[in-house]
Amino acid sequence: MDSYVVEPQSLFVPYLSDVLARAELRVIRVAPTLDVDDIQASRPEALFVDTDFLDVDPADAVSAMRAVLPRAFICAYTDGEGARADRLRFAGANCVLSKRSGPGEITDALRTARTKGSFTDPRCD
Amino acid sequence: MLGSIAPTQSSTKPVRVLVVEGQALFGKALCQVLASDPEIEVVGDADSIANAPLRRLRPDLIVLDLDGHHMEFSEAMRMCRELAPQAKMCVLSTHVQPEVMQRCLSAGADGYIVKDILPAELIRAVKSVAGGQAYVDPRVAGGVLKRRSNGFGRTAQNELSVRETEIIRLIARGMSNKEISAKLHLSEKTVKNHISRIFAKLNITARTQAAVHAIKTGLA
Repeated sequence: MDSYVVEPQSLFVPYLSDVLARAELRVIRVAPTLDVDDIQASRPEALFVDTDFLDVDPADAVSAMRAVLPRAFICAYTDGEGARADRLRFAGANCVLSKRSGPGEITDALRTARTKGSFTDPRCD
Repeated sequence: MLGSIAPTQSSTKPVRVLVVEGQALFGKALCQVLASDPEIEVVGDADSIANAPLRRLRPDLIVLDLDGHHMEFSEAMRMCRELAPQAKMCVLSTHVQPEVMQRCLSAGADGYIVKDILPAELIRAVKSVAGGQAYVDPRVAGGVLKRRSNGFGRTAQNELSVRETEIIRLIARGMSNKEISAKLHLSEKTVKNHISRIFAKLNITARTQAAVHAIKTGLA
């Protein structure tokens, strides 16, 4: 799947891209901040967003992504738990990943979410 | 020395670096970047100070994540000093606020790196700190100088601790005590205690006042 990544920690991006590739998510574009117009123009099949560095409410960001790409696979990468994870799901995230996950857990979670339609890391519940 | 880079170590012996980072993937990425330099040897990584074998690894330098550890930052620093007294401390943070950096340096950090740093700059920063120089993200150092030139600042007694700063930022984001406790891996009682101290230090009585303070002072 062609994937768009929203991640401001640039030194993290190459490693993250490798991990995503293991889950068959090919990174085609990386942005340090949320730019809905750019996302729409890039037309990715999947979106991976680090929700802890956004200038807007994370759930609002996911809603905006969902609005412009209704069929995209959206993965929210978060340090949040409980109500915050619920809001990400309700906003349209297919996959809610914990930042405590290791590389193997991330790839397993992404594959599970793609197969079953959704996945939330138990540490985020 | 704020915001400047000193010459790197001239010794051929590599700098032994331990990475302590709560965000597992980011920690691995850090290790990969640092290990790409022949003058740096990554001796290990851990998700918290409590899980880091400091005595056994005897690192020359510890890269310590400010945001992900499950204890007071000053306590994490104390543990590092006790278990690895030889190690320099380089704090890794998402915060660009000068207040946060100043509190980290006051707690004994030798360097302050913001997480959006570029790989080459990270390597330079680590080598600089290992070589006995201080390193502070230039953007944050600029903020400190601006504050000083404006004569801004409260007495040290009233300054918020690193943890209190984290909490007031989360209050400003509208988070409840329960959400803050989950986010910082603290009990709700501990969060309440921190908030009481914040109120006392700032001479305020309501969360909205705390949020306004955080916004006005650039913490949120």
